[in-house]
Amino acid sequence: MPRSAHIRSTDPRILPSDITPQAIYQERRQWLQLMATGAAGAGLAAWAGREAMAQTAGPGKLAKLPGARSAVAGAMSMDKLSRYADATGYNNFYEFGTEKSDPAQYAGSLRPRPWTVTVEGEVGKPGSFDLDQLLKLSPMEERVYRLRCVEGWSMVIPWVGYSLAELIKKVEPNSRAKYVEFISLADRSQMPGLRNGVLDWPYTEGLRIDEAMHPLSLLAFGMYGEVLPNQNGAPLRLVLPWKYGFKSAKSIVKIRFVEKQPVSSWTESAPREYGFYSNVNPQVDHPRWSQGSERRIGEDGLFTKKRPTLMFNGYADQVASLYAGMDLKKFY
Amino acid sequence: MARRSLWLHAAAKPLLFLICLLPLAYLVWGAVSENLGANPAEALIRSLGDWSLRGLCLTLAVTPLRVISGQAALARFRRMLGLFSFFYASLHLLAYAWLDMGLEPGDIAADILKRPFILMGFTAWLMLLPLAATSFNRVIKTMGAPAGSACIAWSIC
Repeated sequence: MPRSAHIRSTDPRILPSDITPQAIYQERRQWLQLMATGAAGAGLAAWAGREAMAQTAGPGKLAKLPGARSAVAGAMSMDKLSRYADATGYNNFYEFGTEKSDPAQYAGSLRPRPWTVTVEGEVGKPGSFDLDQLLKLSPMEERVYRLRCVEGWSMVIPWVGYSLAELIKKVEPNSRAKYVEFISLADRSQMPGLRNGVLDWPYTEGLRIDEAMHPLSLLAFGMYGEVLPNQNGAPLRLVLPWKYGFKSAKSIVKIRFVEKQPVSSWTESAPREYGFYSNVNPQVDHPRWSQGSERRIGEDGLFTKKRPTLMFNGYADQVASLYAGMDLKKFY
Repeated sequence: MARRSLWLHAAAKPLLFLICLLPLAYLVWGAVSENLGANPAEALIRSLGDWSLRGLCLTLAVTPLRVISGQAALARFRRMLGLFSFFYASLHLLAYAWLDMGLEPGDIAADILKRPFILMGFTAWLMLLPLAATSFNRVIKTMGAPAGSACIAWSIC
């Protein structure tokens, strides 16, 4: 979507002169943040910062995608937001290379438009959805989620999207739909990292249907008030805040409803290290490192002790019931 | 021979010493000026490990290079390169213990025992330790070797 589409109004009653110029409202935003920082402690600053960017916080690089503050329980973390530069410059997106800086460097070749998502399998209404259809399918919400990477670091990101359940309800899964499989784009002409064989492409992820229907399971189209940058999984991705980051498939092209538990790419590549569930769990270590603590990117200083990782990444109140009675050491 | 006099030049060793300090200087500058990316702790730990490995490879390459090129004088740089490998390996270990483990002795011990790749790195450091400790001329003399073969230890490792 060209950015001008957002600046020019289609409503004849709104004069161009009525629209606050970008420079002015951005200056106000900076001023608000500055004031909050100076006047009060970190808590107030975070709050004022959050309010100032209630609808948006992006640096104005991409098309705006505002979302209303989410009312879903647990969807608005009060943790301090990660810097946009960190959230868009330190990524794991192996389709563009295995270094953290590779996605930011090479994802420019991804074409997020036009984009179609195919929904198939055990559903009453299979079909293809154009990106514009998906954008209009349900109202956009802004949600601030903690993101815990399986590698032991974390960020806090304001996503824009709606519950995956909204889409699932539209396609009417039948009683055989026990699991949902998500398949990411695998196009060599757009993704230079596909040449390396670290994983068996296309990237595949999966959820149990009740996990997929959980209101916290987010189908995200934007972050920081703008559409998703390519390196973060444009034009649409999953965000599952209580699972390790790799479960949140990026640049999704196919959603398949199936009866048998799908095999995720990472499970296929290293079944002992990455299970199907991959819920954040400080008590179950990765075979090669501890999951008991994490480093918050951009916030913790070099010599700050790593902070303890919380069960289900702090979303236990919302999601623990999904796993009642399960041995989480076995179903890691 | 011009080349030979260059290796034996009085400034050759001090110059190598300074060159070997460049990676550290770069990392310290990067940490202070916040130029090590989003995860500076990880960047520090990794690059210190990388540089100790590079140093080790260079150290081990000295003897073959000396033999192939016939430049006997190259041998005088081997001990310094070896010691710098140990220096970077020690900083790597320190950075891991401090930045990753918060200098908790119990956590460090448990981590070393539990994880094969940490255990391997630690073992490698332990193997370098006696080589570094016995690399001083005085020690070497006490141990009964002629001072000229100061870097026998490094060529063995």
